[in-house]
Amino acid sequence: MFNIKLAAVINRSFALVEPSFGVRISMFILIAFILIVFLVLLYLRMQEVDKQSGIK
Amino acid sequence: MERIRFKDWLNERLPLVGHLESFLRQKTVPRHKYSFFYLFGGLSLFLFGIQLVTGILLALYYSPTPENANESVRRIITEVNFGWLIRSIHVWGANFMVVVVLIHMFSTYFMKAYRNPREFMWLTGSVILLLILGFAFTGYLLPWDTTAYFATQIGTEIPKSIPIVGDLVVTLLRGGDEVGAEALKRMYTIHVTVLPITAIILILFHVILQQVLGTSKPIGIEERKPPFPFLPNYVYRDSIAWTGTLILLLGFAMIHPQELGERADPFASAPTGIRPEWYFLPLYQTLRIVPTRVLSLSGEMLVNVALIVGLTAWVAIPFMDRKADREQQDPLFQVVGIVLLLYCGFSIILALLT
Repeated sequence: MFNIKLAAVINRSFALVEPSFGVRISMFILIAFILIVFLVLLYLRMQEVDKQSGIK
Repeated sequence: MERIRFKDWLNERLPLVGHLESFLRQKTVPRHKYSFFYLFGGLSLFLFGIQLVTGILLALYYSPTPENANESVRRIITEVNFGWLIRSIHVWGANFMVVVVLIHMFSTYFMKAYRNPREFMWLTGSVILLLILGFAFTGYLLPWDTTAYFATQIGTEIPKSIPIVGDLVVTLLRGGDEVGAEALKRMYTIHVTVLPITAIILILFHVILQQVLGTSKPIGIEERKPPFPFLPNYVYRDSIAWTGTLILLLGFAMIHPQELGERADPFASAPTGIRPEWYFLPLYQTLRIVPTRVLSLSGEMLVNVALIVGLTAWVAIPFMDRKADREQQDPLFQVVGIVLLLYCGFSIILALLT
């Protein structure tokens, strides 16, 4: 019984099933941060290739 | 030992990859003040891919029967790992897709990218938009909750007044007089087989045509030199747009996940305030403002006929706007586009407020 309850808490905390608002927002902030870093890297690389092609 | 680059290794076995790369390196995208709108075509493709992947994942757990449909969606949300997120991305992704495809279509319209020789791109694009609306309509019933059930009951009633084929269309959609097990089965089959297969074929045709004919330049717009090389410069722009949209989509899906209503009871009375999804609101609002009888004719029938005539005219625009073929602007078509946009915008706001 205890294990089942523990599993439910773990599942909710790691956003596997029906996570709370707090867990969802924390998860979003984490993923968005990673994607924004990726976005910035893409942007810098784009600037570089634009310079090489004579666009900027 | 000599190291072989993966690209060379692959090209030796699949020479097509090399040809494709050199083709994409030669391809250019016009550079002018409206170049931003070119991103929406690729973005539509990206969102279609997301819908396809999340749709397949949902189909693994979904059961298309009135007894199990609502329960299986509830199971996806409460028992399947990340099921809540996949479903939420799928629902929000559908809304994103309609927005992006509409922007793509209206920017194509105002930039007159449909003109010679791109008439077939406009034709296929218009059919793809209708298919996307078809996806939204058929997918709406699948959770089998109260709102979905009664909204579909009303939605499938609308084509009834179309002269000659109205009853046939309703029977084809419902599989009977009422929305029930047959309707759910049909909506599901259309949603997961007929529409995806047709859409994939048409999208492939649309994309291949785009590659062969190249990107159109708006009439009378000064092009900056040099244009964007597609590979790698424009691919980076596409990737930035895709990543940005993914962040936005995840934001909506995670912060405001789609809720599931109670299982539909066909014998209960319809709840008040049921209205379709926002993209069907212009049609819904038109049906509301047109009187029941106009000169002894059914108002609903007149709206349906006007919709069919309007859609046919919209699809045939490249063949009507002859001035565009001569690289001239026809103010009439600009006015038609603006009036249509304003009408859709106002009717959506009006339907939401009243």
